[in-house]
Amino acid sequence: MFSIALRIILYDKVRTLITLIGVVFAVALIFAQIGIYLGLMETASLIIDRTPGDIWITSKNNRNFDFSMPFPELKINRVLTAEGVKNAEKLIVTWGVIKQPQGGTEQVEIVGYNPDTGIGGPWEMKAGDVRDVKSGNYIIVDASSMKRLGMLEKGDHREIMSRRLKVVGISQSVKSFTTAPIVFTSYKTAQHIGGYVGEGETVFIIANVFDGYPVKDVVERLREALPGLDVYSKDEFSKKTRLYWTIETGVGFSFLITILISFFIGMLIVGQMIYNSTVEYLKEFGTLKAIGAANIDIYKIIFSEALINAILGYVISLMLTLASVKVYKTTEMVFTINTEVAALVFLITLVMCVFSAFISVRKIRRIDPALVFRG
Amino acid sequence: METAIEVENLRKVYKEGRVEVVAVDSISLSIYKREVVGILGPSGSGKTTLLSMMGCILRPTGGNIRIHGEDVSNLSEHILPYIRRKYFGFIFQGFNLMPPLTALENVKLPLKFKGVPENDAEKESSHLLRRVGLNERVNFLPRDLSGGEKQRVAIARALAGDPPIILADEPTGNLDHKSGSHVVGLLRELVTTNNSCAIIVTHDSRIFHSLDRVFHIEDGRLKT
Repeated sequence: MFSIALRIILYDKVRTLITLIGVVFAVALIFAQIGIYLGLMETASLIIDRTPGDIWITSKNNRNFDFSMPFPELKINRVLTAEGVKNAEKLIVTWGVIKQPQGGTEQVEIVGYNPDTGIGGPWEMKAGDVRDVKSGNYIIVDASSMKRLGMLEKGDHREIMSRRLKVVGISQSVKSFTTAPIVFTSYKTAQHIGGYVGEGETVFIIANVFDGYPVKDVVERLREALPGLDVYSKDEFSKKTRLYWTIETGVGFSFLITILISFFIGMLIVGQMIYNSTVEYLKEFGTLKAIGAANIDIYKIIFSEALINAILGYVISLMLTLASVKVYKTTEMVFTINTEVAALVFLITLVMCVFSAFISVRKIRRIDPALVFRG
Repeated sequence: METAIEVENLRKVYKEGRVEVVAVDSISLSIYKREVVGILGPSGSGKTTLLSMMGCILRPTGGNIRIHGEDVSNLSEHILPYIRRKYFGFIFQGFNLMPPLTALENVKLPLKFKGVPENDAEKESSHLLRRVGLNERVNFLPRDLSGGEKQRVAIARALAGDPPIILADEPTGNLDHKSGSHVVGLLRELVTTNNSCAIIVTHDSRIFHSLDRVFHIEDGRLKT
């Protein structure tokens, strides 16, 4: 029956073209929405995911990476003495305003890390070294921030919250979901910028666990030892941050709505085209029933048509999406397309097209057998 | 003579709103192997309804149909496609070929539904098209064939799988005299060779002389 469906599709070239355009647009839109959403979520938890640390300790009821309350840094001693903890490091994430040389300001997200270990600092340097922020008013800015902060180079100076800082390095691939440029500095300097985090305070403690100790058990132990703080495994905190931006900001909902709309538009287009084709071939399908085809044989033709449209439409959309990844990169947007996304969208496309074929099933079931004898 | 199809007190009543319309009223007849019979009657007389019921396409309101001795009157909907595959070959006035399929592929269709392997189906279909004189047209689409050629493809399709009964609805209705005579001659020849029978619903007086017997129907009843 597949070959008959294929022949019908090849015979009705104009209808096939219109159907394919519909499927391609719907699927490409689904690809784009999922790719952009995942790209945004990737940036939302990027520093958590790229920082070598098994456990993240934050203030109580903290909801994400970007907006966290400070707490006493002495708590690190309780962390270090907990069974299974190999090492622990403090990290500050705070906000500041940077003055632009031509006037005006930009809000920046400041990340203060220990330059000796580099934990929480940039992981890919274009110029300079992660240790260069040590012992002074130094910063590392990310290459992706240049559009917002101007073309900075090593040796340039900028003022953040009335403190003059020297650019000692340029990092790469560090972006924030908030779209604010990320500026790295030393832990000590971050404590004194802006006044949000005070002397003797930190925003996060990142701990690593000895080999052989299950992270889950150490997390439980730290939760008992630090009742005033929240303790998460790296994965938990990454998910919590992504979930915050997905649910609390409505970003996830708006992406979901667009994906659903694309799905239904695609389903309507394919459904209408297959239905039209079914109506046009009603007499021929009636003839097939008369010459011995069971309803199931004709359903197979209809569903094969849907399947062929799905596969062709998907392949074209995938090629267009892969080609457009470069375009996304030029706009500094993170677009995530991987095997899992491709498989998910393929599944969505199949469901979309196969469900659309159900519109025609009722028509087939009710074909009047006497139809075949009408001239 | 062996009976191919036997109908007894066959009745079909349609409901149109609250009104009951009797399309076929207590018809009884027998058709034998190697016969080519005609069913004649004015439009709306019930001849196509009778043909549909004999071909297990339409279920009768009452009465019995026996095909090769098997009572098919009250079989379930799921069994009927199997019965149609087993016993019948259909020829329609409008040819009813699948436009996207070639002549060969159209002839192969009933064999596909019968589960005949692809190679065997291909061989048999080619043979049938040769038999109806279309060996040069096997890969032509219906749109590239003349009316007579299309009807010959339809005949080849009806013969695929050697059905014991050919049911033809106005097979010469869309053909000129020469093509019409050729089609009936072909049917007669095939019925004789295959030991089958053909039942032809027709208005076409030009083919009456080629029929073994003729049943006249008027207002759903058989006229004697």
